[in-house]
Amino acid sequence: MDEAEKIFRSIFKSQISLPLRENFDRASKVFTAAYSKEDIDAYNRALEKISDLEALEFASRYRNRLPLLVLKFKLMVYLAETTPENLGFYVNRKDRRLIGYISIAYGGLRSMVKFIKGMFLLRILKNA
Amino acid sequence: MHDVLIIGSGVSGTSAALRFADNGIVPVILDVGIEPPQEPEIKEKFYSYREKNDSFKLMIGEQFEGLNNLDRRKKVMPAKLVPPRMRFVTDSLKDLYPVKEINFSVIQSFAQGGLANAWGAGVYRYNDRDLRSFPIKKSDLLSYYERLSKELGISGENDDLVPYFGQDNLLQKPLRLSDNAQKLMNNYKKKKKKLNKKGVFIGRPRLAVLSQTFGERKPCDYSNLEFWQPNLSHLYTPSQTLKKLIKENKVVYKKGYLVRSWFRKGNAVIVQVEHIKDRKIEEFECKNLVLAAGAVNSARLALTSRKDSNTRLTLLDNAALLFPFFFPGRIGCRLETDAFGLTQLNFIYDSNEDEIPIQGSILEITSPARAEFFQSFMLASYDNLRLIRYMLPAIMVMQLFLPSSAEDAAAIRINENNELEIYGKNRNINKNLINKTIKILRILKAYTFPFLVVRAPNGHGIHYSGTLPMLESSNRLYTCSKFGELYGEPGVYVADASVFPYLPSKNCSFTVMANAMRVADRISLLLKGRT
Ligand SMILES: Cc1cc2nc3c(=O)[nH]c(=O)nc-3n(C[C@H](O)[C@H](O)[C@H](O)COP(=O)(O)OP(=O)(O)OC[C@H]3O[C@@H](n4cnc5c(N)ncnc54)[C@H](O)[C@@H]3O)c2cc1C
Repeated sequence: MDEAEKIFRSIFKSQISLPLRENFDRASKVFTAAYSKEDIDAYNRALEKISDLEALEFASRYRNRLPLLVLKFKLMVYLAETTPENLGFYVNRKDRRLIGYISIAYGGLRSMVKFIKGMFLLRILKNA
Repeated sequence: MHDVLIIGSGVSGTSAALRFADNGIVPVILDVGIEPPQEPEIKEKFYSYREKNDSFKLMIGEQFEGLNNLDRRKKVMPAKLVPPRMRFVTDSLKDLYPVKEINFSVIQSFAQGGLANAWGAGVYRYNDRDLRSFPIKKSDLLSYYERLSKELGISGENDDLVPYFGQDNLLQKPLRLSDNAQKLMNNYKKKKKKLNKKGVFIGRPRLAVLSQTFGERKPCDYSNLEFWQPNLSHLYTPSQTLKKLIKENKVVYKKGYLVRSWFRKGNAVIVQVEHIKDRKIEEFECKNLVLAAGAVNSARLALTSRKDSNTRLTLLDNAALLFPFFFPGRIGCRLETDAFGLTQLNFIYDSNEDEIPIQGSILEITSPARAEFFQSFMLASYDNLRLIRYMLPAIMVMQLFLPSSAEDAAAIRINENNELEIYGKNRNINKNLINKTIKILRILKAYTFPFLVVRAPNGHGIHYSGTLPMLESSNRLYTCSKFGELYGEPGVYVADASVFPYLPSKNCSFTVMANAMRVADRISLLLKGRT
């Protein structure tokens, strides 16, 4: 799996389309250029060593670590919104109140678990 | 020699030009005049378009303009100015006209039509309470407000907010409310007595947005395109008036010129301009010069023309507070994909006769990119997407503008290298106001928490003013007479918000426009030999 594929899968749990991958690769180059070698190395290490990038990014966001990973997640969220096939992730087209409540409550719990896992992953990465 | 030269084609310059045209005078407008990119118009609603088309070009752009706010280490821009088709509004002249911002984030426009190409079109009359530090009264502005109502086309209602916005008998019916706004309005009606007792009033905004056909302009189509496409027919911009005046030969419009300074020669004012393309310098001679370059640039011109790098001028703005709030009962509802994506309602908090009331705009958030909210949610990425999908349809944002404060005002000056420097000051925000507003929202069954309230960066009120204030009798440099004439500079007038000595908690542009017409009337009378 390449960078775009890994990040997309971590956020959306599905497969990235070709046009989105191309846009991500182009944008990624531009934005990465503004980061230091250390940040880029840390990011590459994370991509290589950690499979649950979602948990790692979540903990990094709160711990001010791995800024490039946090940025690439945001980048993917912006870019994916422009593709018709991913619009459903952003736009609720029908009234689904019960599902809405349940998924937000479940999301809160899931995020707590992800956060704890992310903290561990940060430690593993530091010691690696 | 020209009778009148106007610098700038924003709301102030265009309104002055309109009044000159009414008076049979043909002014010359000098403007940088950047125009929108030539892109095919989106003829569908925003969300239907996106269901069928890849929207990378529309939302992000080939230069990744739409990703401006991705990296928070860079200058953050208000979301409405970020989309690729809106970038022309704030295209800067970094090399030609450098600015140093210190604890202040200035939003400037060199576009044809100025900042109002991206405005929210909220048009509010000032009343005598708002004008209490001004040397003029509401009655001095009334006829100009009425003339402008006929030009702009304003929708709204003479409702509970009439004491604050004034009676306007030319209003078109208000726009259709979004479901969230309707819910808030229903809750207000139920609790009206209690809220009014506390000094809280809610009503329809006055918007230069059409709900009915108006001349050649079409009514609002609830397309949610307000963030994405400039020159929407239903939303008034000064370019519409400008184009009409040019077509009718009532104004001479010269774009591509950056005005550098002016000086006096006998009775004439000589204006020095630089061509943007080839940087050639040219001079224009006039009897009357009208500064309408926006409060920052008009002040810059005044300082540069005096070669004054010692004076610091005050720069006022409304500090802006953003209160996102939600209706629990609307979590999981469908996103309203056919809505008007800007101000739905206005909120007034008038707790005490002696204090200036606080005004808020209650905004629908259906138009900006959903991704803009991703960073504000606090869960893991996949769960943040669920919040975007199920929570955002239940959320609105209230933007409160705080009255300007002389103690916390920013300052501007020109340095020895002729660069503009802007120094911002951090303003202490009254926590009590935040807590009270949250309590009021709770009465309306809308919920938020203090930690969700965001203070916009210094300068993001985008109501710059006060740099060249008008006084009853101006008696020192960089102040104006009550007719906008700059002290010690006969024939040089200021028509933009520079002359406002104070900003109440209200969007200022409609009053800027009315005052620009008043200034134009004064010059017209003098030109015709009557005072
Ligand atoms: C997102 C957004 C929403 C807003 N919403 C509202 C709202 O709802 N209600 C409201 O009242 N206000 C609103 N505003 C504020 C409003 O747009 C501005 O207050 C208003 O447009 C200022 O008009 P102006 O004519 O004074 O100056 P500007 O709009 O700044 O125009 C300046 C003009 O001068 C020209 N110029 C500048 N310097 C030079 C020079 N040296 N030589 C030649 N030309 C020059 C520029 O090209 C431009 O044409 C909003 C602003 C923004 C950005």
